[in-house]
Amino acid sequence: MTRESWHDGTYSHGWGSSAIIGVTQGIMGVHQLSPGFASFSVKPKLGGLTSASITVPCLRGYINVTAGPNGALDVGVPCNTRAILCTPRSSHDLTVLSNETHFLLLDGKVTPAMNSGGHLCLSEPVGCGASGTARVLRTRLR
Amino acid sequence: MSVTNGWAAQGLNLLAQMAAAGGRTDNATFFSAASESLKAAITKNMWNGTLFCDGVCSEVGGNSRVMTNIFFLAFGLVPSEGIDAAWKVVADWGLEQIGDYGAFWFQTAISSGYYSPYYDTPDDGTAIYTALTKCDTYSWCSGLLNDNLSAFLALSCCLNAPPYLYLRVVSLII
Repeated sequence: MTRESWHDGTYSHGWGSSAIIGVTQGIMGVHQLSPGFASFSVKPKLGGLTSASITVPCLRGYINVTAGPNGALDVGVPCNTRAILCTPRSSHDLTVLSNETHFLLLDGKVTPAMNSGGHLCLSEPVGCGASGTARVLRTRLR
Repeated sequence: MSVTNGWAAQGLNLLAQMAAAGGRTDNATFFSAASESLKAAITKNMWNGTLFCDGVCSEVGGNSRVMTNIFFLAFGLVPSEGIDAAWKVVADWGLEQIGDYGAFWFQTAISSGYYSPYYDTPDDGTAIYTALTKCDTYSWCSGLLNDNLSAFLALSCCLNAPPYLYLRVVSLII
């Protein structure tokens, strides 16, 4: 918890931590979908950044996200959770993704995907990788 | 007034979720129906097709319409077909003259909301990136720049130095 405002107040408020919302949900696109993060989605939008990483602590472990150029996305998914993984399909990503693209590479394997607003998402939620390793999502050149 | 109604709709929705989680099906149904009814009334009477109005649309301008759209985006109350327009009202305003309370909700609104269901923002992340990296005398972190108080208190508990030195250190860091 942080102070009620930058200027004054007690240390029992979330208002002073607004940047966490912006980074976690806005830039990295990590959203809780069910209580206790039993399921969540990762839909990054990097804006002016080339790449970014974040570790989001939750009740079921740490969610480690690294997003890079051309829609590259590595996500450490806690083994007792399920995650919907998505790569951005914004204007400057159209060199690698089109509206007709319906698959992504998950851990090197071609995997069905579907459009979801400004993102291309795996069709099914995924759990943790083998031995708890990160799930590796890559786009495929058209 | 519309912000108050937004809080009420979201509060009823959360009560419904809590009742459902606790097995109180009747209460969950009641609160959910009340929330949906209020949301429908809000959309009918306070949505002009482009933005939510803080009362009568023809009389709304400036910061009031921005704040109304901020809260409705954050609560997930904007009809899907109106999200882009409502989002643009907020993003175009930027963080000008929005304090720390407002900054929390502003960033929530343009980050696709705090409560499910989340929506897709119509940009590539530039708006929230700009908001996070912008800091001047008119934007959200001006209080920190002007007062140094949050950082000052954190440092003063750990450093054995006069207060003016803390302030100087914080200024250098910023």
